[in-house]
Amino acid sequence: MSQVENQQVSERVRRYVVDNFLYMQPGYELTDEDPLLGKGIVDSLGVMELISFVEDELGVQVADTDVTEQHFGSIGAIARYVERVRAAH
Amino acid sequence: MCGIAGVARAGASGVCESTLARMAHALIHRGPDGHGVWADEHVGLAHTRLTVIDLVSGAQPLANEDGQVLVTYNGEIYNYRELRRQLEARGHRFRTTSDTETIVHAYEEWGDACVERFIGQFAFAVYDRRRRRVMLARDRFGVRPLFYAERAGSLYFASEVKALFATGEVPAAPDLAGLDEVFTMWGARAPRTPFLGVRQLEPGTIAVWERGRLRVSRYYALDYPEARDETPDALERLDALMRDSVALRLRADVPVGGYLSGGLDSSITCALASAGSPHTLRTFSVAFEDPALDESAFQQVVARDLASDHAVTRIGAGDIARVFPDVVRHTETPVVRTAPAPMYLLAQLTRERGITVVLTGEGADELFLGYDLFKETKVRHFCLRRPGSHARPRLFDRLYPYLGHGRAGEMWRRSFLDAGAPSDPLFSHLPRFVSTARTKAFYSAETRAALTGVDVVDELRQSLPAAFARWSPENRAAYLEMTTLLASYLLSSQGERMGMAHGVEGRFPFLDHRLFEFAAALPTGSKLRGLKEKEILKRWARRVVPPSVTARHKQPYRAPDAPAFFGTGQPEYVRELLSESSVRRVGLFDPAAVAGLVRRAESGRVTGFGENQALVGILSAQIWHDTFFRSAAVPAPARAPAFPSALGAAASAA
Repeated sequence: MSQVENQQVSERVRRYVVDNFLYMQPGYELTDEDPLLGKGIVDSLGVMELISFVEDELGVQVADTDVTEQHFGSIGAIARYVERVRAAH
Repeated sequence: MCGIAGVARAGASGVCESTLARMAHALIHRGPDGHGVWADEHVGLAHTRLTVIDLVSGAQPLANEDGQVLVTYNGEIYNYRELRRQLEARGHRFRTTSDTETIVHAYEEWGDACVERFIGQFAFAVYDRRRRRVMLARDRFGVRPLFYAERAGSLYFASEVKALFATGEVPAAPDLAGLDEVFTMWGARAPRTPFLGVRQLEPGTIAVWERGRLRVSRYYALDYPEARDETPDALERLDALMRDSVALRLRADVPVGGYLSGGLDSSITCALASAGSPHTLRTFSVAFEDPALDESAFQQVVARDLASDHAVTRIGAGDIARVFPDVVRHTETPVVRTAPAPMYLLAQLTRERGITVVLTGEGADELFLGYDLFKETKVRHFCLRRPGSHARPRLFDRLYPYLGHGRAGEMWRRSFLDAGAPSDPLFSHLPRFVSTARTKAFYSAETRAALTGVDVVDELRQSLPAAFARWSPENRAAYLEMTTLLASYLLSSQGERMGMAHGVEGRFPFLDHRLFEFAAALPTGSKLRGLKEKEILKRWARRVVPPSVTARHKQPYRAPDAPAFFGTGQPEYVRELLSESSVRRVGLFDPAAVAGLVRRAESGRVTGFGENQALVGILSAQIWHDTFFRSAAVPAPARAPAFPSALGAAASAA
């Protein structure tokens, strides 16, 4: 995946997180590496929504064992995970 | 069960009969069978009656022999017969067969300490004319409500806040700190309420008004003197306590029915009620069209086993939204769940079928560690003792298999472990507080500004009794559950208020204080053994209910939240009250933020607890605001309502 494509994935994830979890805080400044769970932006069910988004909107099948902070803990982590899985297929 | 109200003046300016009549009128749903007012130059008392004991002569306000001690009372003193015998032996003369009269004689004999002798659920006001003092009292666990306000040298008190506003002398305004507690702990914690200047008497306390000053004191404190081992006679003691508790609560001059959820607790109360009466028990249940929420099959098993005369109210699409505004008018607070609405409909059915008193199972989960919260607390402690373990958090999967979190794996489990330090006294309840507090993200800038410096969680922390630190983690959690969720929400918004909306009195065998003290002294392992909840209760209950009931996996009572208000047939008020203009007008929440939540609800994406609670909380707050503040809170009639001022038994004795 090229850098541009990675940027696009990052933006789409960011847009999804903002639209669905931060719509009540329009001024919130979220960096790519801010921990989504740690900062209370998503809860346990929010994680489920993120998985569904990655599968349905980004076309990447998520293995159960891949649902970790390393892969889903931040916008940047999700983008890198998507990049890695796409590159492997 | 009934409605009480009154006004006490520091001076001798008196209380108008029309004021008392308006207060009583505001409580007429609580007491449709009769009413009474009484006044002298200092104090006025009002009462609306739901006739349960002494159908003929128990009218209130009621006086003692010489008319110098009067009472207006809501509730039941279950050991009134035993107390009456003691009082008669000491020379007191009774002229009614009511439990009400026990109170005035008990006050004469034992003074303020009389409340310590009552087994029951009560809220009352005693006026001692000789000493010119008014004593307010509330039962140990907060079953019966009692609100009060002090203003310009007067004390106002009533079963419901609407009666205070009906005087025209108590202004209606929101207390944002009280609302903040609703959006943290599901309910404002006594003495606070969501209304500015209005307090609620804490459970287990009395308040004495004398010479224009109010003094509150505690007569009962929750304690957990946990034994190391279960005594050999524990099961027999539990058996005796349960049977006596139910037997006392069957004392009535009207038939007593039972709510039946299909779970263990109400199955127990119904089974004992059925065994304790020669009549066929009338049972009542809620059924949901949504099979994920419905417990009908379990209810039918118990109803068949008891051969009860069983009736069901079926909750379908639209039912919750249809009654929700009236539900909020009766809860008198915003709520974060729709669960009160089916209970409102259940009470309506119960009343329609001619039953005005029911036994119900609340309290068992608090006494015997039944909730998932207690198991979750245990698992969290276990995991945090070995923070790096990957195996320990898998226990959460076992705890919540129905949440389908097999996919969310490590991240989901980890979210439980980031919810507070084990050293925090509120450790057990922080996840709930954090989840509920998501509603606060929708506050308007004005609300946020007004709440600067307010920390209701820390206030709770500071209010904990000294003994708290000595209790086991499970008993600390039980205490918090008794004093936050049970008193502030379950017994009130979901229980008493919904029953009283239709003049149905709930009675709670598990909230007999002798049973509480027995359970509080049990070793934790008798209540939560591993991850098996209510262990001793289930062990005993095999004597009383079918094996399928004790073996059944606990299903928490839930009602549809956000989905109840969206979809076809959405009532106009939902769209209107959640519109940007309405949200802006009320000013509690941010219009753009609420619009985002509504957008997600309309597309069916509000699935998590936090967002569901936020949606219900915001909608109910909008309804609540318009009900109590938009116009006159309780529209005062142009003249006093046309019901006669019955002076009750007090008149002849004055």
